[in-house]
Amino acid sequence: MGQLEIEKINETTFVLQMGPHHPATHGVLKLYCEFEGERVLRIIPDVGYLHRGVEKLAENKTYPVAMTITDRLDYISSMTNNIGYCIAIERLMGIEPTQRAKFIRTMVSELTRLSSHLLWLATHALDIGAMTVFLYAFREREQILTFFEKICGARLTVSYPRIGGVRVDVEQAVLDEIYGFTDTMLKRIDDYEELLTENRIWIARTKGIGIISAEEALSLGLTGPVLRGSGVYYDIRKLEPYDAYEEVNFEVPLGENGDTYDRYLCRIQEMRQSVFIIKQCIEKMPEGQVISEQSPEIDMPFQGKREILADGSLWNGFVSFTDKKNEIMPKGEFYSAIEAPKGELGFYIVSDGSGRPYRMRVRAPSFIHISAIPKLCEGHLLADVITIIGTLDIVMGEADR
Amino acid sequence: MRTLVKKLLFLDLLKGLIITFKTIFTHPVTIRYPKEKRKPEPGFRGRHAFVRNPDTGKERCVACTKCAQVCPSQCIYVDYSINSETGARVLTKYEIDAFRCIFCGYCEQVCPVNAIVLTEFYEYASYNRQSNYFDREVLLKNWDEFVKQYNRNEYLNKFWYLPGVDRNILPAAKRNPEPILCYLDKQSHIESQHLSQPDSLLVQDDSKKETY
Amino acid sequence: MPLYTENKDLIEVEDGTKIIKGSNVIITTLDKIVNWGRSNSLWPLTFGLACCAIEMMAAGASYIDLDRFGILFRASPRQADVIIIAGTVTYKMAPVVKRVYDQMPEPRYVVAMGSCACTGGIFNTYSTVQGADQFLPVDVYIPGCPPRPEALMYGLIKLKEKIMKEQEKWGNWK
Repeated sequence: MGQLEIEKINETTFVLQMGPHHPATHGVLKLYCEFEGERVLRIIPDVGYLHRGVEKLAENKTYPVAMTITDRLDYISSMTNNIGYCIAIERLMGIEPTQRAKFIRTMVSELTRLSSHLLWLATHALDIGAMTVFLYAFREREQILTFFEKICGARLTVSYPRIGGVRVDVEQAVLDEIYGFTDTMLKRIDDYEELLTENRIWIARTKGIGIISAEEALSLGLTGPVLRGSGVYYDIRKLEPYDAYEEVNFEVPLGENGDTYDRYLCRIQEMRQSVFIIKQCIEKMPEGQVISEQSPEIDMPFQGKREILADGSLWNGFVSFTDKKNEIMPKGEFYSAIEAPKGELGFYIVSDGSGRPYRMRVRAPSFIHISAIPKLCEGHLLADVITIIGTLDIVMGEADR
Repeated sequence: MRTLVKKLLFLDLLKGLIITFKTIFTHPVTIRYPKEKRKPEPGFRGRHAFVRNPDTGKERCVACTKCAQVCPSQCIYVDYSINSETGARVLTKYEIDAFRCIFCGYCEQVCPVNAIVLTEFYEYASYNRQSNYFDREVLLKNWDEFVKQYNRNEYLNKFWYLPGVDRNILPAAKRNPEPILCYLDKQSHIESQHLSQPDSLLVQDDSKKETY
Repeated sequence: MPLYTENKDLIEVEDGTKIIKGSNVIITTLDKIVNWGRSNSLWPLTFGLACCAIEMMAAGASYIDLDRFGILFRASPRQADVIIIAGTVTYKMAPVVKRVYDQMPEPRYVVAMGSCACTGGIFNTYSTVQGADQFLPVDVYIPGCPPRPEALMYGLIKLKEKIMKEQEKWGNWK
């Protein structure tokens, strides 16, 4: 069902369908490629093999409950998805999270950025042929996932942030462990650079591949490290800061040529800056509550406000729903974006006053990067197509939603 | 000149090979499952269980159905009847479909009496679908197995009392909950009583008559 | 009616069934050897669709090493024994899964990993197949969202126990 029907350019071209089941396509993505010998003539990507109906599903659930669905969009970096959603709703409602919660959220975001770039490095190097980096990167990633488990109880799909803060507090022992981990992490990043950066095989396979200039990248709508590798200074953490990014010092690395090698260097430098941000967050962490008092409770009603009667019973009061005219949330629409590891992740929320979102739209960076594959692959060989998919850092969970 | 020497003598490749050579002499990080197992951190969200009240030996659930309302994948089915004399709710059916669950932990956070918990047990793969469809007795049995495996006398879950959150927001039972006593001797005593005597003789407080 | 057999060494076990004397020992020993060989060198097919694929990769990496059990990930279905369905199966992807499963040579096994492959999980929508067992015969179900790498390991050990109990699944008597 839903198969594309395409005509060939002329009769002598060679058609290859890199189908949805392929070890190198990072998920289920179908590429219809036409070659002349080994040179690429045309590529048409086919998406939709992982469409699960996330946006429709979020219309039936209340705001705190719909956060568990946003976990599974970009499943490698699930904390940043949750934080993006929470920031959109906090700006809609006019709530400000507490100071300690802001620092905890920044620290956790940067840990997620580290783990996402580690997985990118592992799979990208594995596609090109360097298998050692895969095992080394997963060894570090296991330690980061153990920290997530200590903080909130789950490794991959956490639901840790809340609207107005985070779920529970982080203990001091865990913070000390993370601080000790940052020192070893800096040495490991030096190891990865020694293995790859000056390696003649790596340079031959990545220099000059997938070049895109700054104007073309801006007109295609690319964001994140892909855009910064072409030399454009666009980082939402510096231009529209959220959480505690105003209070920490860090730099934004930029590239020059816009090819795969520059994007690789950009991401390695971003890993180093993430480690510096984590160190500063732990040193400057204030005391206090981790969730604000105006945050909605987890079992928000669908419609109508909740009234607590005077005579108490089990849970501090008996619940009665008033008429449906009372509004829980302000009406209106709002768009806000954060800097996810893959690019700019945006949430557009339309609210009609009740406890359920009327429409939740996700602006996913991977979906837009897939549309840039035909432009980047012009004139390259078959083996370079795999390299270009790896350097764009595509995750099908958020491209298809 | 320097780059020519580097290219001829393969110095850039040798640098990488030295790093991999050094890792021969480091200790491997592999954990030999199933002979050695990593202990999951406290608070890990694994298999569901009903907490057994150490006084009465039964579950603590009062059939408020908050967990069924808040579950994102709607995998909890609760049914209750109303006791005609006291007006209290009596639980008749409680089922969890563990294959639909996404292990988010919302049910254990919202329960006002701390009746349900996500234990740290994760080895329960099965050959068919029915063995992971939990009802009341199976949930209580999960709690017994969990207590026996970790051999502990009391248990307190971090998500029951939410450290760092203002105490005034939380309901009364969650402000300062004490750890649950789960003495193994008392449990085996209660279990042996279940086997030998009928149910009507075991209920000790007469204020809540339970109808099955 | 008297029995008529050419070879007087055949024994009648039930009505109409005759076996060679002492052949049980040979067949059960062959069973044990064949099952031991099959269960200790399971070669799975990489079929990672969504989030559970990340935990499958983590199980194949250093901490929980699947290579100690003889498990090598193969990319081609013609060389694989078991297919681990890790992730959500949608209606657009289901014919592809079925086609890949049909290309695997027998004996083949199916492991459903995670909530989405067992029953569809949280995605009870218009485009998701509610469980891989709607169109494939599943042998082992592993719960979790996503299951830990040790839980995947435990599920594969249960599959090994299931294979060890098989009888006479070799040769012409399948």
